Amino acid sequence: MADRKGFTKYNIQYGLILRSPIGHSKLLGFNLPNLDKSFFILKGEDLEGNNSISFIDGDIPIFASGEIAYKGQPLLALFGTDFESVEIALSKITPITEPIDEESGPTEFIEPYEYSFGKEQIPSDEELSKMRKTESEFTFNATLFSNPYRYATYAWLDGKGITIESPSQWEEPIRKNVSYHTGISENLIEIINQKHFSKRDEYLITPVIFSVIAAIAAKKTGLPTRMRSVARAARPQFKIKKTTYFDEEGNMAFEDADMSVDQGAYPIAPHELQRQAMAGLLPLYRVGRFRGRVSILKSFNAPASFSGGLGYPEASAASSVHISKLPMKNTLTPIQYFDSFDSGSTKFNDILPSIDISEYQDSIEKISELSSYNRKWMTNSLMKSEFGLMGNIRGIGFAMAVGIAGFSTTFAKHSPFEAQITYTQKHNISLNTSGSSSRDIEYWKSIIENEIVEKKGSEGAFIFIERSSDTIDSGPDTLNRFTSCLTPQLKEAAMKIDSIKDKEKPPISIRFKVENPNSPCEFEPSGFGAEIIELSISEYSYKPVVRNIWATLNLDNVINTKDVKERIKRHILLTLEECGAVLSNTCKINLSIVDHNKNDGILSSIVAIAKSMTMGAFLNALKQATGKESPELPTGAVNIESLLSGRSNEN
Amino acid sequence: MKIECVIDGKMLSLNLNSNKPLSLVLQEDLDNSTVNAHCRGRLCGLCAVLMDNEAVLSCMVPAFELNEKEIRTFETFQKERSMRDIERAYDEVGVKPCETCYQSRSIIIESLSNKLLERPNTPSEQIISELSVIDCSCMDTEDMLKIVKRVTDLKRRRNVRRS
Ligand code: FES
Repeated sequence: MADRKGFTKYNIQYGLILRSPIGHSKLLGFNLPNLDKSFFILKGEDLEGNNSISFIDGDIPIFASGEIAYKGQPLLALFGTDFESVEIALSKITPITEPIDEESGPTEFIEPYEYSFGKEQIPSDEELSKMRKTESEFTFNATLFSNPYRYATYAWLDGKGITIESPSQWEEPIRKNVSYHTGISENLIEIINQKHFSKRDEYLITPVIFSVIAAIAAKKTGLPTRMRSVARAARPQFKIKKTTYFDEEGNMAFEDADMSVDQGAYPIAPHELQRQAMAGLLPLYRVGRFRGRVSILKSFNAPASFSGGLGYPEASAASSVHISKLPMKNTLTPIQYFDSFDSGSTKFNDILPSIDISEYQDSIEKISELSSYNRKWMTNSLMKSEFGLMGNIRGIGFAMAVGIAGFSTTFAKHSPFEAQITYTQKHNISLNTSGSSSRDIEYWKSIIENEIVEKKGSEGAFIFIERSSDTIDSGPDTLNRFTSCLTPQLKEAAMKIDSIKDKEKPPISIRFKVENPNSPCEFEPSGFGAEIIELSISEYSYKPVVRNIWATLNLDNVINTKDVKERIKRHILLTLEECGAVLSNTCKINLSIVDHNKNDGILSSIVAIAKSMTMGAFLNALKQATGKESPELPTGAVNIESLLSGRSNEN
Repeated sequence: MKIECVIDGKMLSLNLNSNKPLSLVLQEDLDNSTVNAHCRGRLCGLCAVLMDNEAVLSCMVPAFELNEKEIRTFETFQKERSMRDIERAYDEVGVKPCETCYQSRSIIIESLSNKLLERPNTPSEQIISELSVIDCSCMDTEDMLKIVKRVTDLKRRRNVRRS
């Protein structure tokens, strides 16, 4: 634990947040009880024109002021001499509110992003109306996740500076926003990052708000401050529709994809979300022409966090669900259908370079055989058409996904994220980066050792610079940002240092950017995965019970197979939890990995692949078990019961 | 209410509200950094501690039950030899719990492996149902079972060597 200067049990002020019990409404004031001098309140009005934090390209209010934007929004902070008395006092404070009559549905936040590619022209509406088509829809509802862990945020003044202690996936916005709100210069702000594990990017935005509140309170009162909270993260709502039109010969002539994303009250990085989502909508087979559209909506829901993937996994899962609908007859299973035509490589486009799925056919075959997918799929389909309502409630689903890692080229180009490598006077190597994951740092060390240390012939010549206020901001710890976007540039810088270190006098420093100038498309494909999930619907609880999982992944630059396998398993299970599935007691993940050592050093994004393929395979299995074309996620007993009762024999 | 108990090896005499749950006593009165969960009865299972060697959910234990009990939290348990056995089993099976449930899961594994050592015929279903008290799906059941069995095995072997 950090050395918390000046902390004694008697001088700390303890702070808690009052959150709004209701959604969108006017906030007229508060009913306050009589509070003695030991309490201190911080509200939106106290922050005069300064009541927000900036995060990437948007502003998020610290406290609601004048209007409540969503249920759960922070309204005020109360500080006192211990948590128990603050909790009691807080329970006596109520907001005075008034309903707002105006329309409160989601509204378009920015211009929709449209992208189209292909040799053929986009058919006219009249032409489209004459073509045979396959349509599929997918909805992932907005959900609020709160980590049961209560974490603490500390702030204490230290001479002219201030120290903040908090778990954080990105320290830089804490430093910037604390500096802005307290007037303390950035280099006098020390941040101690507490150990944390983020399931849904819950330590990305909330800790910034809490750090700012704690810092303001510490500055105003001069007392060390401790705040307590659970980390919350909301995921956006996704609605995706894909339609494929076939020409007279049965070729896929045109594919149209439409996706809308409701990011809640304060959309974060909406343009990047549009690009990431568009990558997931691209077909993994050849079509004459593709057209995609991604709209971003703003609503009065809790502001959505990154949720581990900025729309790519959901879009990619929707594409998998669509693929499984393409075989129009029940005589072919989705895998057999995919096998039966020469899908060829996809066309190189601005979003992704050409991808050839047939390269992975062997891996797909292998899990198909291991799971007896074709036989089970056929049996389930036949049973479903033969028996009535609750006759067969089993399903088997297949999905595949291409991984993309990190931010898009456009986002990286406009981002200030950097890192620096230095060959020191003592012939050591130091790194200056805000990246905090020990796994990522280890990987970078191994690259540097390969490029410089080994050639130099001495081991252990590596130093990792300790965190200080001069630490360079390398961006948020999410979306594989560290090991994908920065690694090629790190490798290049290390090679350059190796070539000049004997000619120039050290120290030699090279600062490198997150932008990869050699990348021709928005994203680099990194890895591929295919998964089969077998489930049944519990006749008692109506919950989807996952019985078995088979997965195969082709990854680039696997460093530690054991560690990678463990992470894949974990993300498969976490995704299933997010989808509303339960695991049977005998559920087993049969996992295989193929490693491709690529020269660029980019690590495959395990989260993107695991989430995409798991969501897709689960949806396809659920579709077969319930007999409904578009089940919604996350699924629950009520949802499934209604699906089963309105069950059709469509497939 | 005055309560006397041993927590993490320290004899304590505490003045507590008799209904205050042990989890909050640890968090608020003793500044224990290894019990952080507070799910308000949603049974997250992330607050396990060892009470007289048996895993309990600390949010379910009111202060008045602590009298004359011995509590071990992950703060001391992580330094014990048993934890090294558990880490070894994680390593051998090739999975370990995520950081969210690592502490609680390890404590429950410790308690179950002790039980299994005493009663080797405990049915797997019973072990599974006790393991599933943790509401975190970062591991599948088969792996969890393998870990409990492996830890029990390591303990058994050591006991044999000692005798
Ligand atoms: S805090 Fe969740 S079960 Fe104890």
